[in-house]
Amino acid sequence: MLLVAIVGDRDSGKTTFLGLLYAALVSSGSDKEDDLRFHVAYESLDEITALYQRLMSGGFPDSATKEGIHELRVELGAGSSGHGFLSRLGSRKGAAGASTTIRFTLPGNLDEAAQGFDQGSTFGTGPWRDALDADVLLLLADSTKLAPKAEDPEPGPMATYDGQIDSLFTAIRRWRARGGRDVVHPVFVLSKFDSVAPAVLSAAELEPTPPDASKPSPRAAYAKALLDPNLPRTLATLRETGKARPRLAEARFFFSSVHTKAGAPGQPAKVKLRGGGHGGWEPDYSKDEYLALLERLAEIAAETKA
Amino acid sequence: MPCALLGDRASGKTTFLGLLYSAQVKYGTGVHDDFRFHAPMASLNIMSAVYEGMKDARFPSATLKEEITELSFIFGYLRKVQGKLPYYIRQQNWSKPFSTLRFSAYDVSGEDIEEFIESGIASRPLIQQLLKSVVVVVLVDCSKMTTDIDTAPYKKMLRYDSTVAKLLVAFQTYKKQEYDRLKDSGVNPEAPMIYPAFVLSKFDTLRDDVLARLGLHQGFPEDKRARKEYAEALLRVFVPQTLSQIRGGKVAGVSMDKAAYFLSWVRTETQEGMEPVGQPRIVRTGFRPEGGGEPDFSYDEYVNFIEHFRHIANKIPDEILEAEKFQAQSLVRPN
Repeated sequence: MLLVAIVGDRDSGKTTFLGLLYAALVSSGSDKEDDLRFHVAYESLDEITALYQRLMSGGFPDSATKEGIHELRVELGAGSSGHGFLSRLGSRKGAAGASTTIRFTLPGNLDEAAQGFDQGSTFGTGPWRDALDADVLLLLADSTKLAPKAEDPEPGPMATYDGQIDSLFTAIRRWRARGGRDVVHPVFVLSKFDSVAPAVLSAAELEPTPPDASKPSPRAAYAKALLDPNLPRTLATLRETGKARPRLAEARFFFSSVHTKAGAPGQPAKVKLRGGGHGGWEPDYSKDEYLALLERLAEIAAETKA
Repeated sequence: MPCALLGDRASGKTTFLGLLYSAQVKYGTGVHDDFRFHAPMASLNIMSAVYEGMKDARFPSATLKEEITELSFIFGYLRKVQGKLPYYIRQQNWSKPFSTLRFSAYDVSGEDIEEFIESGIASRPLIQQLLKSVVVVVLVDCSKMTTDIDTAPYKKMLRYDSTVAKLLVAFQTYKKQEYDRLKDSGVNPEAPMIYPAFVLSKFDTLRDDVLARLGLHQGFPEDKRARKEYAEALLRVFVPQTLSQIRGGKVAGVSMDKAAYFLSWVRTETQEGMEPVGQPRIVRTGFRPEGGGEPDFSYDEYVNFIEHFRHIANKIPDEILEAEKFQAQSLVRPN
């Protein structure tokens, strides 16, 4: 089983991210094309279907939904042809029928646990234990908080979060010094990317659209240009090449966006729905990014199994 | 063979059962004589009341609906070889001319099933019986199919999709647990399988703008493959979570691939240019040599539905048939 811990700052879009991931699964899993098949564990269904209903009705997750959802356990399967985009799940000879279980866990807001990490708490139980044990650390960076590179030494809007991620990495190293999984795969998701300030992009001399997911190197360079001024400690940790356990795998970067429309006066913005390919509706979101992310997770699962 | 019938409130479950009974009566009294059915007294009492009402142009009343918790019929299909034998041999009991199966429909709430899956304790004994179902019939109410996202039917359909998806996963989970349990106890069971059957109820109320948006023509196709594509085009839009869980069944080790699709409609009286007042009334067919005075409904679809079970009956795993036989024997055994 691949354990994926979704870590993010307060209001960085963690629950929305999980809901959109499920929407991408439903959309592809109900498709006639036999590329992706999935099964949701019974225990996860209540919360995730409620979240899905909310997004499909144009609402962002409310506080009750956020409180209620802690994990999503799915079994991902390659299509029967073995040529679908999840074909990496199986052996090189063919992936027909191959499957893997992925458990997405939402431990909570990082600021709630960071102090404990600094004080050396072991988190032997509870939701943050999953983050310490995870194969994949899925780190959400709220694009609306990204700031351009500044000359003055004042901490930017993401400085605290940067320190908290650093504390999490330290805690993971301490926790796994004598055992546990050997590798952590950091995956960054730049959430609300459609709301990134144009000044930030122009300061970094970047195009508004990131390079395609099939080109990991240019994409990483693009994302790092945005993250370096905002999460310098985190990125410095990723560059470390020491022999400390666990090893940090090469980071991957994805961009999440969901278009919104203005709500009624005094009401929050709503999720914009668009016509789906089959005549129905779906949230107007970066579906390809979510599918690329799932593909990457399938790759990691296959590597972990090997 | 227990069969679970899942349907939203007012999706037409009782009407479906009433029309199924009507079709059984007509099909079972046809000249071909290759299908017969039997209903236990309790089921017969309710179904004949529903049937009588329909022949009197009335839809089932709320009181009748409340009385239904379990309905069962025994379907008998003339064996192929037997059909070729002389009539007097077919009539002999020793020749076992009909292969039989029990069609049971239960009306239980989703909460009851969840309680059982989560705790292993069923407050209602029906639940355990229900989860043993090999066939799951899902009613999808076409009158709630709308592409207008700010309406109550759109939200109802979203909720219904979640409910059915959860129920299907509950069935899968139970089947997988049972399979693992049998395997652990040294039995070599066949891989678990569920046969989903979707009934597009109130098909005549499907709106033209919905069909146009989905690029579908009016009327359900005849060809099996085209029917599947047509029905799935609707389900993909209106119950995508359900469809994705059916397609993903194999990933969970419980195949649900062999879904079948049927439609149901019953004509109701309309007066040109006027909105119907009060309860709608069922249109009845005129009297003809082959019968008459019956509800005007999608009879051929119901016959297809009955025939669908003939095919499933041949595929039921041995351990389920054995369990059924054992259950039947224990019922007739004196205390």
